[in-house]
Amino acid sequence: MGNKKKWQFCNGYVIIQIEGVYPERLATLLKGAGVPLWDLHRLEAGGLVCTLPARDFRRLRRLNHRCRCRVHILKKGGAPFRLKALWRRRVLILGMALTLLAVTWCSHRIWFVEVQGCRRMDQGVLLEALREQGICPGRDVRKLPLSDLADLVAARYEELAFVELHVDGIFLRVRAREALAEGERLDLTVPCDLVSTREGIVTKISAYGGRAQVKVGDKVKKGQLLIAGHVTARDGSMTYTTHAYGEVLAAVLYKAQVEAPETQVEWAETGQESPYGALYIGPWKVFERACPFADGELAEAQEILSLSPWPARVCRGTWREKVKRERPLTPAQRKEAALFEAERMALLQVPRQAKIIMIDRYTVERDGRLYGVCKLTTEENIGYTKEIT
Amino acid sequence: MKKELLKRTLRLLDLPEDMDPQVPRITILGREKMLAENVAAIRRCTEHEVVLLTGSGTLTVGGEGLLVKELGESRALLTGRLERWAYGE
Repeated sequence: MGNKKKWQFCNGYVIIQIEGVYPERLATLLKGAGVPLWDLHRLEAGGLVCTLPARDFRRLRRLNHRCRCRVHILKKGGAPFRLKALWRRRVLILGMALTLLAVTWCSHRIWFVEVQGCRRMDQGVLLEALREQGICPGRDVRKLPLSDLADLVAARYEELAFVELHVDGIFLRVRAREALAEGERLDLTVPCDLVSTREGIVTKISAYGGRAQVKVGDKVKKGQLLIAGHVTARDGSMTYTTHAYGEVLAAVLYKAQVEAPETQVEWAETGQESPYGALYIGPWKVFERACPFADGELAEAQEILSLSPWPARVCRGTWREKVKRERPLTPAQRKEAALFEAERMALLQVPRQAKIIMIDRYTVERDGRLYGVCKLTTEENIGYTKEIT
Repeated sequence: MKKELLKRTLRLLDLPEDMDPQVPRITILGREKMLAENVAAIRRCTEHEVVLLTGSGTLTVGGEGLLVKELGESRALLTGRLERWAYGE
């Protein structure tokens, strides 16, 4: 269908038959009045048939008084007439309009997230990090600074070197490039030594290239040479440098000490309450009654109305005012709190790939103060390559 | 007199003659399409003959299966098998 035909269809058209002594006169009058005519031809029976825009049909009736022709409508066509026929079926029109709206609305959002390039890193962690930045299925992400957010996520995890976000229709394609682990950075042709990253006691050493400088049971310091890249032949005739590599596992100690707290802060209810209400459409909160208190907690929030099949829900509940109170701790509670905090602090120091083999927790009293101490012993790879310069 | 004055003015201003709305301009594309501009009225329309009124007299177009595809304010697009055309008084 050509563009002209499309416009003709959109505006609506009427095919008429003009009968009379001189039907061409009416056609000329219409032309003079600015009414365009199409497909003008004469029938064998004698009438003149032509097509004119539906909106100009009323003008035709006025002009016809001067010609005294008879005008018959042969056909009415185009969008206005079809819509008029459909107008009686309003529910169908409403459904079509809503479907169109829904499709338009949905096509501006992402519904599927595809992650590529995650081998060592858990995909779930990356998706959760993206979700925290507001990138998740059902969101319109086209207005978000995707490049900046990708850089932010990549900077947050040391396992990631690069993250790229690309919106493709309703798909969000996440391309991640993982960072190389320690020891992988140097090319095998580069001469290097393997040195220690931490202080510990060697539990296993396997030298695949170079010569081992320590043995199982040796205590090593940070930066100490573990496998040397300088190798001398057994007969001492020659010396050469090679790429030292291998696996050096060591027992490493991590220690944390935390003073026991005297009191514990806890939240207590004051008894003041305020009603809560919220309206959700799909996963989005359209309206929410804000908490009238400085500090409050939402209690007993439940769905009271669901407009199924529409994704609208109404929730009601209660805001309860809360205030901070300091509660003195008993000696046993102080001890437990100190040990818990010390263990947490020690665990934070442990690298991800390390294997915890022993946990030792105890309390000490020094200068009248109580401290919680936690010692964690791990087994981990402590070797990293250092280029020989 | 008026026509002559308009012609002279156009010549004086170095404008093409088809600027004159009284002068018909006819474009024929192959044997199947004819566009006539500056048409004043349509006199007759049959399958074998279409007669248009222009500033230079009547324009008679003869042929087979003629159809006025489009009749605008000052132009007429004719389709069909065109065989002849001629001016008359």
